[in-house]
Amino acid sequence: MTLVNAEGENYQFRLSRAERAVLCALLKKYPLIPLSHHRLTRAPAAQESANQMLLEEVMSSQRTDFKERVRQLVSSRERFQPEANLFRVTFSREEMEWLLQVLNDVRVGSWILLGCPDPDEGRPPRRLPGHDRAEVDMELAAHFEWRLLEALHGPVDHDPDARHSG
Amino acid sequence: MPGTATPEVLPDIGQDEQSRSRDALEPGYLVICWNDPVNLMVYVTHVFQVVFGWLRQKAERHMLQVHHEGKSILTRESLERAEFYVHQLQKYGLHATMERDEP
Repeated sequence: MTLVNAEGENYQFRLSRAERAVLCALLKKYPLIPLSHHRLTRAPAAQESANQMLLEEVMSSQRTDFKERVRQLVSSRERFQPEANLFRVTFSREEMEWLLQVLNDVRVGSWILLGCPDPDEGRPPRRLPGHDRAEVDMELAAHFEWRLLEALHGPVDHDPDARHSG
Repeated sequence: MPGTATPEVLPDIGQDEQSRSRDALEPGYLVICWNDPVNLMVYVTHVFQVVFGWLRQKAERHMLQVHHEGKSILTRESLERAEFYVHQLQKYGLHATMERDEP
């Protein structure tokens, strides 16, 4: 996926048929992060508090909204304009923002499915039946996140070590 | 009844309300972002810029603090503001919490 043009609040990308298929498949996996993963505080006593419940409500509401946006995007014939063997698609600044959140949900959710592996801590990925693609999905989601972030901020560091902070 | 002093003891519920409103106004909560091995550094920087309106340099400084020190205190806020920021950061999938700033 390559940025072709950025004008005002709109970003036009060119992507191959395969990239479009992969992007749409990733987006359709949303949401992957379990609601119970979101914790307002590390204090154990607060887990059942009204504030914690409010956080889960906020996350649930966002999910419903983003799921509908994803559905509309991937089912729209007009959004991806064919051009020879490629497609052109234009995203607004607002769309870029929710696409980043959706893709990152797929990345983090895949990581959770793998048992939250951490090479620095010597914790390898846990491979469970039915989640064979989780590692691949993590990397593919990162690929598209990079592309969107590059469009917004200019070239970014693709070094695999330029990760884990957050 | 002259000469009888009535102690002024607020009912518990009043005290709760008082402490809740004090909590809601005083900047006694820290918004903390914790390190994890999954979120991209450039993504974290982007999120800090969007959520707090920081310039890239400041956002990168906090992102690097998360990366090297395991966490970064992003801001100190009232209960409601801290909650708002944690909601925003978690919407982006960051590992962020709010903790009471104990003296």
